[in-house]
Amino acid sequence: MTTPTATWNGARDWAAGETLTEPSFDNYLSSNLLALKTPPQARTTAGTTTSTTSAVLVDIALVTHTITTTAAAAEVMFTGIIGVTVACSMITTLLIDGANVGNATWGIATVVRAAASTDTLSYVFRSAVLTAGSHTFKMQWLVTAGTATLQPGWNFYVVER
Amino acid sequence: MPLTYYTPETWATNEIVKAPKLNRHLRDDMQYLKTPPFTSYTLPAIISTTSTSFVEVTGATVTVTSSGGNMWIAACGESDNSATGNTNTFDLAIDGTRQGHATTGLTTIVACGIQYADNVNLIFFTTTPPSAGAHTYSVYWKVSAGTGRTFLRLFAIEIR
Repeated sequence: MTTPTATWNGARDWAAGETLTEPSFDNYLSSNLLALKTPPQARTTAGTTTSTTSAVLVDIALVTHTITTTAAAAEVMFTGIIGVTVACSMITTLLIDGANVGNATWGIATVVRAAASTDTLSYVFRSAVLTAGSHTFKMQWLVTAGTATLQPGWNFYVVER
Repeated sequence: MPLTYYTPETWATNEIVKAPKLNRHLRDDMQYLKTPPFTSYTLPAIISTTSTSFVEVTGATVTVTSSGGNMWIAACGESDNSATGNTNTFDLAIDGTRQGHATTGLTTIVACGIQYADNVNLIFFTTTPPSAGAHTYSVYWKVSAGTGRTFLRLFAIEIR
């Protein structure tokens, strides 16, 4: 007996006169429906504090997820609160498998703030169709002066859709 | 070839299950749900406006051919204004009809400094699905004064 799992096995092309078997129904009905209901995903829902003084893009510690997708797009969502110590620009961007998918100058979310101030930073991003396999999504950031801090409670969510 | 979503079949007792129905109601519908209609667009450069009434953000429009399901529309990026205290107001439109508040749209941002970039996040779910077929989804904006600038990514996807 085949046990259905949340695995997308492709949309089967059923043939005239074909005998409907239990494995076919488990693979192409039950497993596919489970995959549609629960696609590959990863999330952090209460991230901890991290900070940077880097003037060039560097990884934001902990803001990274790896999921194994089918040949499909992925949606990425981030929301958090940024604090800065001095007047500055704070640029963040998103990398998929090491490639920057944000704008070369503006990244994916940018704020310019006064000294000792905070601001919300959030975005939704949908990728191009990815190849089937493992993919890593991570954020990077830089600050033009002082220290930028990502305050606790940030959320980072990646889902195939 | 565009995918097609067919209204799910009500199967009859003792019905002989045939390949054409399985292909239509299992294969095609599952593939449609796996890969729903979607289009995205990223502005190639920073766009500016001095308009104090809503106008389309130049180029910020996509067309999606959907099957009559609800749509998720999102536009994310940055904006700023040439003077402190001025506001940039953003809205999303379907076929040219804005969906947000008549005056304040979906998001209003007050510039806290001259060209102080701030996040723009517009997220909208339709509650009355657009009819099956092609529809355009656009970003509109206006400023209270001065020159507003923005850089946006826009996408629209059918959700059911």
